[in-house]
Amino acid sequence: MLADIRRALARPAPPDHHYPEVLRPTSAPASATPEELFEARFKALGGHWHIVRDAADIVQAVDSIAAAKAGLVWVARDAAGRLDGLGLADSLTAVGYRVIRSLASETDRDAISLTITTSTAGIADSGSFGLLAEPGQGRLASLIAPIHLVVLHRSQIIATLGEFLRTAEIALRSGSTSAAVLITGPSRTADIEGQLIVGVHGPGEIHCALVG
Amino acid sequence: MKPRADRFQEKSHEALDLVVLQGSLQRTTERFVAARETASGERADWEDLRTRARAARAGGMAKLDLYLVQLERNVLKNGGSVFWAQDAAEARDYVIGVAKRRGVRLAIKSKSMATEEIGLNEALEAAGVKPVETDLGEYIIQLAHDTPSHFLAPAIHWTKEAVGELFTRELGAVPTTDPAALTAIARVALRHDFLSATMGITGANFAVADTGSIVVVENEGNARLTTSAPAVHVAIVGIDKVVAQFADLEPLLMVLPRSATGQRLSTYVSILNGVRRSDETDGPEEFHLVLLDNGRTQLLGDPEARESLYCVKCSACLAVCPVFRRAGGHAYGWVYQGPIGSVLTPGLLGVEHAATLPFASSLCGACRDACPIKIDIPRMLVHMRQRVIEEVERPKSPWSSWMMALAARVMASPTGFSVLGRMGYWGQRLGGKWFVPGPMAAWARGRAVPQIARRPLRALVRDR
Repeated sequence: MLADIRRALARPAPPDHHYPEVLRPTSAPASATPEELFEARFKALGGHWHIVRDAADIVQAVDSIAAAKAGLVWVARDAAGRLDGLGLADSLTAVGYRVIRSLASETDRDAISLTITTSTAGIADSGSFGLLAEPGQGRLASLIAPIHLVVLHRSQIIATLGEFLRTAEIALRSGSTSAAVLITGPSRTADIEGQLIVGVHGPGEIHCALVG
Repeated sequence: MKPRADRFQEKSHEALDLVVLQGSLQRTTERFVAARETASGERADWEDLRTRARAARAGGMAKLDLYLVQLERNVLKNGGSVFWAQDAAEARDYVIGVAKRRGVRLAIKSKSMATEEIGLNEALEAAGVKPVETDLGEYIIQLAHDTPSHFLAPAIHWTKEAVGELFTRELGAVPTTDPAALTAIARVALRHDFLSATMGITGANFAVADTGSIVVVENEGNARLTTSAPAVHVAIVGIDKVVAQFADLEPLLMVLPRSATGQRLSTYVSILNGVRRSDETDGPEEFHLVLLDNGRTQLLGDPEARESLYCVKCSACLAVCPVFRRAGGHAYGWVYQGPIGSVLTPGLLGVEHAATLPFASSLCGACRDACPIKIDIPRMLVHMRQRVIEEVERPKSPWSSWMMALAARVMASPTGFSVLGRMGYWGQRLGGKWFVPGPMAAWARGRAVPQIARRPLRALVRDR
């Protein structure tokens, strides 16, 4: 196969006139700060926005989500220990939530109504979260429940996709993680008559609890 | 999916008579166009982004041999396996082999045109593995035993009423025509399959040589579930998807969603580096990358058409194409529709299998302007027309070249041209408006024959 490819490539192609002399890097619009832009773009996607200081505030945010009470709340164990540092699991348990900390094989997946994770970055330009798979906060933690709440620190907001990709590249290259994922708004489809519907296979509702 | 890409004229005529299809084509393509214009219009650097995206694709293709080897090395380093599949049969056999070895009975799939190309579902079924499409559009298509008519929105030709009837018939669902309710029915129906399947099959939007990453872009979350829950992940990836370096992803991920659905970023972008790490609790234990050629090298070897392989399958060219907007996707007869399909299909299958497609265009150039990679589609359509004439038409009918030579002589001679014009006028007078003699009748089919004036322009000018 490779030999065929090399033979095919050896044939001269017409010159490409589209190459510029210098490729400028992408920059974010300067009009708003990254924090303002992130909030605006996240909300424009249908994201729910909470400003919080501590676990009590996050519990209050969770209280505002009616469907959260119906099932289990999965509080992930992020590698940096942010969620543990807030004591979030205990605070939720104390007010009557049924909290799990990992996805045991006997857990009924459909019984989980809300997952709470952290994120490596909030990307202002697109209102996205950038996550890396971690031992206690894997691929499913941000995916399996109908509602996803992300606890994000203000200092984690960055301007562009490129900045997150550079972070992700370092982590992926080092072999410390097997996956990076970008999440931009709720799961959606427009496959039936082009009509936008949220919450098809992933979470239909996404919340950001901004700390700091 | 059996290629039937040589019947554009008949199939497009059928489509023109379908009132419902015409309505939905118009609605959806207009929506796609408006969304793309808004999303690209807000970027002052849009032209720069297009240029960078093109450079990323062109750079990967120029040294494809090198980057494929590098990709393989890095996928192995990430704990995956790599299989080089020269054609559809090799790719199918490999996937079936993996499924048999792992005792897979149920495989979940996210949308992948590469798997459509190789007819993977039929092969899996024959081997006793049940493949389940999980993208909502593909799920509808699979339930109905239909074929996709649009590589981005596969069920664009389905109405909500028809989907409702299908779900009632096939799933026993309560009758409804509400898209939200129908979507919820599909979610529930697929949930169990997601969590019990042992194999997940995806394509990829990009494969990064210098990190061994597979990148999957989607909106529903089904591709994420497909690559997170099952023990085995198989990615079937055309060799054209390779980019040299991780940083190339930035411009590509910025132009693709904006051009496809007008999103700043698609809902989910998964960048996957092989198998789960020993301390991770989900993700596949086994990862297989199938590098699919299936005609791509043949297309690569046609330098005039090579840049068609830069395509990122955003479908912007379909939405702006005056031909696609009327003919719909099924007329193109294979996996890739619209202007880019009219280059890719003859390029991948061979021009003899898709001889009508390069002619299914008015060469208006809207596709080239819409393309986020600045692919010069009209130029390649003309090139493919030339190939069809040289490789298919001329050997079939040697007189066509004599006719062309004769026409050239006649047109070069003022007297000859004038005589032919008079003959045409009297032919139409006597034989009727649509009278076209002998071998030219074939040309006249599907074209509006102009009525020849009684007096030629030359005479009118002289008499003024």
